[in-house]
Amino acid sequence: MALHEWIKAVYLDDKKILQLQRRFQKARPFEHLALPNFFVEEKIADVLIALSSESFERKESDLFACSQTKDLVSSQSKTLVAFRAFLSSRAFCFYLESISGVRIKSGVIDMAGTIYGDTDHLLCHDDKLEGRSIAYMIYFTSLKKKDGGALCLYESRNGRPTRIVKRIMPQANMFAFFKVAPVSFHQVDEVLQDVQRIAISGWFHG
Amino acid sequence: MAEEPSTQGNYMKNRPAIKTAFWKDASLPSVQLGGFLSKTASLALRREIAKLSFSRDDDPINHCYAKAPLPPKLKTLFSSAKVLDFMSFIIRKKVRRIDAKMFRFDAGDYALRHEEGAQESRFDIVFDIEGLAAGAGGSVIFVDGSGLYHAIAPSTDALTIVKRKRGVQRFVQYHNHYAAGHHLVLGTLRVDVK
Repeated sequence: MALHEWIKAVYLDDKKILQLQRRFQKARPFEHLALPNFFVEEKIADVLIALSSESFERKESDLFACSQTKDLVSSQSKTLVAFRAFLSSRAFCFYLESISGVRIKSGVIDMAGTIYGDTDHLLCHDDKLEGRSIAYMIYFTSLKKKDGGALCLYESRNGRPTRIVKRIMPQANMFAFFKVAPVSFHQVDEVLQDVQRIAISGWFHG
Repeated sequence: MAEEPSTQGNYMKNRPAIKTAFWKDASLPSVQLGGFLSKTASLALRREIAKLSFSRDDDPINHCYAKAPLPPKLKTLFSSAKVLDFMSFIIRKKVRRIDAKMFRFDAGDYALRHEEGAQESRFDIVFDIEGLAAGAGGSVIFVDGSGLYHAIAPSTDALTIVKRKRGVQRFVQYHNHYAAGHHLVLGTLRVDVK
């Protein structure tokens, strides 16, 4: 599967990949990147349309409140099946490996759609679970600071999160990802307005 | 010594009915006593709480809240023979003492569930001082990971007694941006082991 069918040309240049590699490694508080306008517009617009036809279930626990689809592996949508196949393709996994230096197994991916509305949130956690190597988020809506809903990254000391040192505001067509590690503490800030924070997120495995 | 705040007399008089209500649900025996204190005592307690000095305790992977020493009026109430006897009658075990802590949950605060206290059966108390508006979060929730889900919604001057079986965990739901200054007393009844 050709990368340029899905990813904008600007992100596929060899020099750009080297630059992203350096940015990923230097990123603090832990290795991550947030790449705006990442996917080809027509493609990602189709993904959003397909996602809006999926069924979202209300999920609440001590850690989070949001609406979520089942894993999109079970989706009947041709567009979502194709998007999932692209993200888990050998070509894309190799691309992500080149940037992150993290070993990624192609063909294996967790992928679900989420909608965070007013008061929804995801509290601080590390994502660490056997096999997960890279956590990723693809945003479909843009939020302003006053809306809340930022992806927050925590600094840590002695393996425990201490304070938020970076907030990434979701932007439509942004691809964000980070290396899953014992200190990859992060949260989704509570959504503070009557807006929808729509994303597809999940994990690549190593 | 602080004067003992008076409880609603009808609760003390209706102990058998409260005991029956408490033991009704075998999966999680519990009873909530709304308006537990008399109006005067409730106001006096709130005045005392307003003067407390709360300190932040933020450990994001476990909890974020402010805590303070138990106000003298509550300390006196929880150590009074009348209340200990009342609790003993309800739970059918001799309550020796009540260990309780005072918390304030502001918008963004929470306490996640954890293993502590879930290894053995125990009796919890939740005393909600002023409650919260509906939809603001802040419920105290008991879960066992296999379907049990019991939520104590915020309610003014409400004392709840809960029997937690082994494996049941407690958490304080996230207080969202509609919440402000929710004072909760969370505690455990120390009973005779027989």
